[in-house]
Amino acid sequence: MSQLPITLSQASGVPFYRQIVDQIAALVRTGQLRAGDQLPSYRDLAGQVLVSLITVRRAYAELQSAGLVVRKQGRGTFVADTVTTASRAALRKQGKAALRAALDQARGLGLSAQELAPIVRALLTELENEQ
Amino acid sequence: MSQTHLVDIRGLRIDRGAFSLRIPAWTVAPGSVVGVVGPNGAGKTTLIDCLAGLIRPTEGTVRVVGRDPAAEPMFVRSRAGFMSDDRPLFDLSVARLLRMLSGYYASWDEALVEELLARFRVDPRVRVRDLSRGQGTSVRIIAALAFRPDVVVLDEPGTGLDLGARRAVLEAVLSVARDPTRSVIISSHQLADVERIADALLVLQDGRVAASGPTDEVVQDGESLEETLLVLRASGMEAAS
Repeated sequence: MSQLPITLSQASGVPFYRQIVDQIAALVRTGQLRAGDQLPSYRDLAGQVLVSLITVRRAYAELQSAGLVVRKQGRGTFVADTVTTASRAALRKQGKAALRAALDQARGLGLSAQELAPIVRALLTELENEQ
Repeated sequence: MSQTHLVDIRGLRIDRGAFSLRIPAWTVAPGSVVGVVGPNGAGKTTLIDCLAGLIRPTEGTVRVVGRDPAAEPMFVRSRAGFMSDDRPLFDLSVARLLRMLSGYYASWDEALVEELLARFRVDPRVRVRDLSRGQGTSVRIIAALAFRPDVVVLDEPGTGLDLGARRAVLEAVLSVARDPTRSVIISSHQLADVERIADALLVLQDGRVAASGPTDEVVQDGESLEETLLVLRASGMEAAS
């Protein structure tokens, strides 16, 4: 991808580096950027979205410490290989939260954990048979 | 003379009547955008006039592209492009004015001029006296960029410009600084624009350096440059009283 689809808003009040971090993270999450893809150089991205080098550098540093990108000495910044694993982990976390909410709702009906356990097991068997 | 810094100032003092500007040390690294900000009367234009060789320092050394601008103004002006919003332009058509200026510079870039005229939406057939204030500013910016100088110095480049032209200024500034050997110095009251594109800031106040350094060190997290200036101004007044 030669130009990243990133749009910054001055009015939002969110710092520019944060907007860049969020939007690149979203591109990775949605698969528009894949493991091994090279990100634009600091200067190219700064020129594209009209911010200082400092802002881009800071955004890339945050993405790096979040494990989303890696810097290769003298070669540039790339989407990390581990990103797929990392985003699977994020999806698992979301799934867990959704299940927990559903279980809480069921308990709200007056069902105990002991009563729910066989139901959950039956549902999982059903899912596996469907696949 | 070292070429590591495009601008190198040491122990600068400029006295002009009751006003004095003092800058102990200031450098501009290649490949950077540096904002010079501060209220009116802080010394921004005095500094820029000194970089252009129009004012001789009372004390200290000033080097622009390695040379003393007061001693070698022609050399400095051939490598540094100065834009100011208040200098008059010859009353010709924009095209003729630019053609005339092109004669002074071996490095004049005709293709770049075409690109900038389009980007700033200036019709080269219009006579200079018929230009709006903003278009006049745009022509001055184009003239400062057209010979691809190592240092571009823009004094209030946002004056009278609409949003589209202000964006064109930002694009032009960043395209210069994309070259790691060239730099831009921009003095402006449009603080949000300066904060957005500047890698470093020099904050002047009453002829003194109130703050200087990388933008993210001068401006605190979660603060705007405008707020930073207010805080610096308040602490400056406290110190003076």
